[in-house]
Order: sequence, then structure tokens, then C-alpha cells
Amino acid sequence: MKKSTEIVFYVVATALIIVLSFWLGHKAYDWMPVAATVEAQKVDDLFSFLVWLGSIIFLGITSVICFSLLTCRAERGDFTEGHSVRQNTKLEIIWTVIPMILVAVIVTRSVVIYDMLDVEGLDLLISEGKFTQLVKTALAQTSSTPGGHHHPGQPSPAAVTLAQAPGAPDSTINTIGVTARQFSWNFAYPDANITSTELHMPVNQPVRFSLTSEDVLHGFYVPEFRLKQEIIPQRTIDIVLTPIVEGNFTLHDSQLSGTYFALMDADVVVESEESYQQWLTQVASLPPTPAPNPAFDEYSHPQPSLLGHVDPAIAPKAPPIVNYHS
Amino acid sequence: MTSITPLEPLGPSRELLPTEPGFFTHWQQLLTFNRDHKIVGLQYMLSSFVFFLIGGLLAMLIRAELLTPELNVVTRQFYNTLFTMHGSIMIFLWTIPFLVGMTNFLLPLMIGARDVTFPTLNALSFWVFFTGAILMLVSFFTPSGAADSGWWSYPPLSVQSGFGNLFSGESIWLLSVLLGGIASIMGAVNFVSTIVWMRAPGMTLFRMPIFVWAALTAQTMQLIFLPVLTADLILLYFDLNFGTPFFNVADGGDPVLYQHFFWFYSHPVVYVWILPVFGVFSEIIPAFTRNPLFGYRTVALATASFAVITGFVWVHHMFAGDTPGWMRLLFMATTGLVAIPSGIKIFAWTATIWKSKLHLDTAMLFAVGGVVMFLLAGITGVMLSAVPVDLHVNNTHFVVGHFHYVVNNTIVMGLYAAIYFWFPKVTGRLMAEGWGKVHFAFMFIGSTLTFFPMHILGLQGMVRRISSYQPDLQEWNVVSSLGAFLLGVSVLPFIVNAIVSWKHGVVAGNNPWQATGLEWTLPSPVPKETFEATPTVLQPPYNYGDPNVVLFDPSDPY
Ligand code: HEM
Ligand SMILES: [Cu+2]
Ligand SMILES: [Cu+2]
Repeated sequence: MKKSTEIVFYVVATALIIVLSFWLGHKAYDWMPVAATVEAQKVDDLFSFLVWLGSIIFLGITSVICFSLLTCRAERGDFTEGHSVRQNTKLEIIWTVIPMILVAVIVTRSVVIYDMLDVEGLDLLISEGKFTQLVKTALAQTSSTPGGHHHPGQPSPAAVTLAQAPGAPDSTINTIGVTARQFSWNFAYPDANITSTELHMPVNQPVRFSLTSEDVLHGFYVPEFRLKQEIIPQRTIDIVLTPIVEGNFTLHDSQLSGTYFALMDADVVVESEESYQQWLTQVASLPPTPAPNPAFDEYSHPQPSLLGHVDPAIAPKAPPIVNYHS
Repeated sequence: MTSITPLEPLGPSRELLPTEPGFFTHWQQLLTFNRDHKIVGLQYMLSSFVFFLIGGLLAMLIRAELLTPELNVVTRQFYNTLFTMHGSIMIFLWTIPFLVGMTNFLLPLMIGARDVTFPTLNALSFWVFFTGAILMLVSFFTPSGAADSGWWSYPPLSVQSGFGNLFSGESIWLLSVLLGGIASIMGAVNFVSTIVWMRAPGMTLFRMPIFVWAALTAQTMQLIFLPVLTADLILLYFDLNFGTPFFNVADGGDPVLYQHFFWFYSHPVVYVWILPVFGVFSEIIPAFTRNPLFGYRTVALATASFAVITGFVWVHHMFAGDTPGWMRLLFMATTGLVAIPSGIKIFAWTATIWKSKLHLDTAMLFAVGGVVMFLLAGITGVMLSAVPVDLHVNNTHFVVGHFHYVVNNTIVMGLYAAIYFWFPKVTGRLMAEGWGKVHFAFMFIGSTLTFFPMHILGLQGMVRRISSYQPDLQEWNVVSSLGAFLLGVSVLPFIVNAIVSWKHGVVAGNNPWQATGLEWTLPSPVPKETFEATPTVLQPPYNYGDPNVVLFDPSDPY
């Protein structure tokens, strides 16, 4: 190749890689389930950004390697030397500094986004009035771009007008007590004085989950909500999330908790304020009864399997007795 | 750096006299308490390969269960045992011991030493390891079955069942890992002291091959970090069998402390595995590109830097735990630092390949394949270091995909590359190229099909260690399982090739790849007495390249 054709070739290849990476970064939103909380959108923005950067690096370096594999083959038995360049100080400084810059950018972005999530409790945000702002911006973005996706660095025009709209969510936070045990979930609504094995919450309002475990480690994880939290016995850990999409989701135990770990799921319902209130009043009148429990059922009626002990190492605790179960 | 010195040969090449046998003459040697570093190396490598096959078989069962959403192949109890023992065997019975074996075999040859500093300790190390390994396998046959609380063995779960039963699977598991740890410490003492004291004259630090730099760094890390795991497991053993309350919350213990101790070792250990594999890449790529390793000194320093950086990143495994915000962010920043030396290495290998004279023999294919896989593993690793993203994918199959790109797609690939490359030094013969390429193709495709879909599954929220899952996740699980079966089959051409070539392969001669490095001045197979006269090293490593350019400066202070 002539020098000039070579340069044109490299420039075109680089441009292609950048465009392709940008497209992948954009597609990355689709690899996740619906972003059903304010927090989820922030996480997805960060992930998309990382996919974009990562693709440039991956495609860039693999292209160089593949290009060499295709064009620089030696004859069999030709053991003469390639070239003898042992080092190039400038180049080596560049490729030490570039990762440093990238890492600095990624860390900074992550810190900024983590600060917005403030999973440890929202006190700070609320006291500064930033929180309601955050919810409104997010709401505006969902309404302006269907599917819950929006593009990083591109504030939606609707955000500005909606931010001043009245009827912003109250800043007093609903608290739901979450108790995990082998192998069931129990949700307590202290204000309404009821318990349930189905997790109900109103849309567009922050909810504080107060997580405890009666036995071993568990994990609180609704993929659509993104943020997960390990639960540790004898500790109460709070996280705050703001659901913004109505629908049915599944809560999974995300930290290995014993034999029936895979069955430790719970239904999650995010609904409008009215139906939520309705549900609360309706449930308050129900007497507590034992909830159905897949782990317990399977323990009582073991399924046939080809291989392995039938005896579980850990028998499920009796199903919880609650006001409401599905 | 201007004087032009004609290059001296690395030392007179020794031809194997017709009467001189290789170091390995009959298989019974493998059963002895043998002080020859080459036999110890072979003992480690052969036995751990058998354990690799067992660990792989368990993986096939895991993937068979995950072929369908419902539970239908194994019981839930046995599934937990499967992934626990798969992980434990792959780590403690395959990756670590194989690398110890390889280091045992190669290290003294590469630095011109006749053996390691403490040959008896070396032999003891193998038999301690082997006892532990057998214990771990035997634990399958205890009445309650083998350990089932994951390879992390987090309390309280790990002490919940089998309490006070010295012969429970968990109890035996702990003993086995402890024995493995003791064997590793013995090995580390030997390797570090061998590198420090037994280098041939002229083998200065900056003339050591990268594999030796890697061994020095990795084994120093074992000495620094492994004692912490040992203490952790002993305390857990006491909790389990004697009811002490170290980690028992009910009695004021702290299960999170266990996690800190555990990861304080178990993060660095990942580099104990991967650094030698980086070393393998750095040996093989120059040999098959006929170029010196680009930026050798930077690569050497980057290797050593891991020993420091990896000591400050362990909390990234606990981001989703009860970890305060400041700690999450601090450890995110330190974790990011790991990308810098890793990047330096990848760039150096890429630059070595660029505009070179490539020979794509099987060893090289595995090395380049491993580099590409590691690139992807590194990128998903940086994603995991970003706390908000990690909080979503932590404990999902995204993480399983990420770390298998490291442990299987990079490390196992690298180990295969090493086997194809150094096979002649053990057997005197070359492995067959055609079968090698079939092996590579199956493995590369199989690995990608198995582990890439796991990233997607994890992003969609598939939790790891579950024996049944939601039906809408089945498609990618089928791809992953079929890929895994292909990966399982890929080992067959390798085994046949190795066995047949051992007896009937093409005779290799001292240096079939025209590579630099002291081991290639020795006959193949290596005789029992390696360096009759201690060689003097007059050249930098990877001395490929135009001999008219000055590569060696006698006034160089290093
Ligand atoms: C031979 C191909 C392999 C396949 C198909 C495979 C498959 C799997 C799968 C599906 C899991 C996840 C199980 C679950 O979370 O439900 C797993 C876990 C694991 N694998 Fe592999 N694997 C392979 C090779 C390896 C290798 C070479 C290593 C080397 C260190 C390894 C180390 C681990 C570890 C540490 C775990 C975690 C176990 C735990 O959760 O406690 N695997 N493997
Ligand atoms: Cu199944
Ligand atoms: Cu780590």
C-alpha cells in the first residue's frame, strides 16, 4: 500500500469503529429490562457510556490484531526477524496515560451518578430539595422518550417546564419493612399495620426499604429497579428507590441462602396511588393466614431428579403468616 | 547505548548424547517423593489436569441443568454442591497447582539454576497438596455430601448445616483448602528464594524473561496475602466444629469480617493465576512474531506493580454488601488503577504483533486467542468496578461471564498455549499441529458461545447459583449450554494429541521454535542434570530482531 492509501485506510477504519461503538452504546439500553425506577435510568446511562468506551477499545485493539494476523504472515520455516524495535518511550507514555485518563473519566462519572442515587438514604437530597427535582426530571424524560430511554447529555426540553409543575410527590417517605428468611419474603407496612408476601408500592414516590434477615445472608434484587442490596442478619439496612413505571415485577434473593435459594422470589406490584391505597384498606380487613410457599411445597413433595441427594441440607422455615398473599 | 557488540550465543547448546535419557524415564517416578524440580512440576501438572477434567464434568452437569428453566437433572441440594465443588476444584485443584507445576518445571531452566533452593520442601509441597486434593474429592462420599455453600463459603450459611460434625462436607472442604494453602506457601518460599539467589551470572533483573517476573510477583503475593485466608478459614473451622462465635452474629460475631478477610486474599489470588499466564503470552508472542517484546521494561514494571495495586481493591467484591458509600467509591477508584498495568501489557503484545513476521502455530493461536479474550474480560471488569453498574449485575450471570472470560477463556487458553509451546522440553517431541488447530477452533468457539451469553443473561437479571430460572431467559441459556458441551468435547482432540505425540510425535530438537531463553539451549527432553556448566547470560531477553542494532549495553547498570 502507498503511504497515503494506508493513512486513508486507517482513518476510515477508526471512524467506522467509533460509529459502531456509539451505536452499541445506544443499543445497550435494550439489553436491560425496563428501567422502572429513577435510579435505574441513571445506572443505564452509565452502562451505556461504558459500553461505548469499551467497544472502542475492544474493536480498536482486535482490529489491529486481526489486521496483523491477515497481513503479516511469514513463510513456514522463515525464522528471520520481524523488526527490531524494542521500545518507544513516547508511545509507551501515551498508552500509560490514556488508560489513566479513561479511568479518571469513568470514576468521576460513576461518583457523580452514585451521588445521585444515594442508596444509603435520601436525607441529604431531601434537605437540599434536590430530590423532588430529580424525580421530576426523570418523569419528564420518560414521558418525552417512550420506552424509558433517553440519551445521555441531552436534557429533555420537557424537563424544564414540568419541573415547575405543581403536585410534586411528597417528601415524607413511605417505609416498608422487608424480612428475609429461608425461604420466604415478608413485607410489613407499619403505617397501615399489615403484612404481605407480595410487595406493593405506589408509583412515582420514593420508598424506603428497611431490610433485615432472620437467619443467613440474603439479597434484595428486583432487576427492573437495578440497585441490589445484601441483607445481613442482626442489621437493618435501608435503601430508597423511586419506582416510576407501573407493572408487575419479581423480587429475587440475590445472595446464596441455601438449598431452595432459587425459589426465594416474591411478586412486586407497582401501582397508582389510588389502587395502592385501595389495596392497603382492603388488606387491613383480612385476617393473617399462612402464605403459599414454593420452597415449602417442594420440600414437602420432592421432585424426582436424575442425580443427587434428595435430603436438603436446609429445610425451609414454615411459610410466613400474613394478611395478604397472592 | 551506542556501542555495537556482536551478540554472544546464549551459551553453548547442549546436544542430547544418544545414551543420555530425559529427566522422566518411567512413570513410577510420579509416585515418589522426588526432589527433582522437573518431576515435581510434572506431578503437579498431570494430577491437576485430571482434576480439571473432573471440574469440567461438574460444569457439564451444571450446564445440563440450566438447559431448561425447571429443575430436572439434579436435586437442588446437589446443584449447590455442583457449583461449589466445580468452583473449588477449578481453583484449588487445577488453576493454582497447574501453575505451580509449570513454574516448578520452567523457572529454574529459565534462570539457569540447577534446581530450586529447597528441593525437599518442594517435594513435600506436592504431597501436601495431593493429600488435600484427595480429601476434597473424597468429601463427595460423606453421608451429607460435599460442601454446598459456594466457593466463598460465606457464614452464616456455611456453618448452618453440618455443625459440629468433623466429617461434614464443609469441614473436609476447609481442611482441604487449608492444606492447599500450606502447599502454596511452601512453593512460594521456594520460588521467591530461587529467583533471588539462584540466577545464573549475568541474569540481571532486567534480563529476566517476563515469565520469571510474573512468578516473582505472583509468589511474593502468595506470601503476603495467603496467611490472611488461612487465618480466616481456621476461624471458620472453629465456628463450624467447636461453636466459637468469630463470625456468628447471634453471639456477637461478624460475618462481614469473614468477607473482608476472604477477599483480601481472593482478589489478589486472581493475579497469582493470571500473571504467569501473561508471562506465557510474553514468551510466546515474541517467538512467533520474531520481534522483541515491545517495551519489555515497562511490561516488567507493570507486572511487579500488580503486587501493590491488588492489595487495595478487595472491597469491590462487597459493593452490594453493607458497605458505606465512601468505601464503595474509594475502592472503585483503586480498582480502576488495575486497568493501567493491564492496558500496558495488552498494548505491548499488540505492538509486538503489529508489522511482524507471524507464524500461526497452535501455541501462538492460543496465545493470541487468550489476549483477545482477556481484552473483553478487562472491559467487563471495568464495568463491574463502576459501583452503580455493579449494584445491578453483582451476583448475576454477568459476573459469571466476566470471570470465566478470565479463568477459562484467558487462563486456560494460556495454559494450553504453554503446553503446546513447552511440550518438547518434557517429552522431546512436538504435538501435532493439525489436531492442535482443531482443538483451538473448538475451544475458541465453545468458550465464546458458553460465556458471552451469560453477560446478557446477567444484565437481564439472572441471578447466579440458581438451579431453576424464569422461562423467558431460556434462549440464551440453551446457547450457553450447547457452547459448554462443545467446550467439553474440545478437550478430547487435545488429550489424544498429547498422548500420541508423547510417544510418536515429531522429534523436536533443542529449539524447535528458534526461540530465545535459556531453556531452549538445553536438550529436549531436558536431562536430569540440566546445566552442567552454569551458563553466563550476556543478552537481554527476547533478542529477536536485527543483530546489527545494539541490544546490549555493557555499561547498563541493571
Ligand atoms: C470448562 C468450562 C466451564 C464451564 C462450562 C463452566 C460453567 C460454570 C457455570 C455455569 C457456573 C455458574 C454456576 C451458577 O452460578 O449457577 C460456574 C461457576 C464457577 N466456575 Fe466455571 N465453568 C467452566 C470452567 C471454569 C474454570 C476453568 C474455572 C477456573 C477457575 C471456573 C471457575 C468457576 C468458579 C470459581 C465458579 C463460581 C462457583 C460459585 O459460585 O461458588 N470455571 N462455572
Ligand atoms: Cu433444568
Ligand atoms: Cu477482585
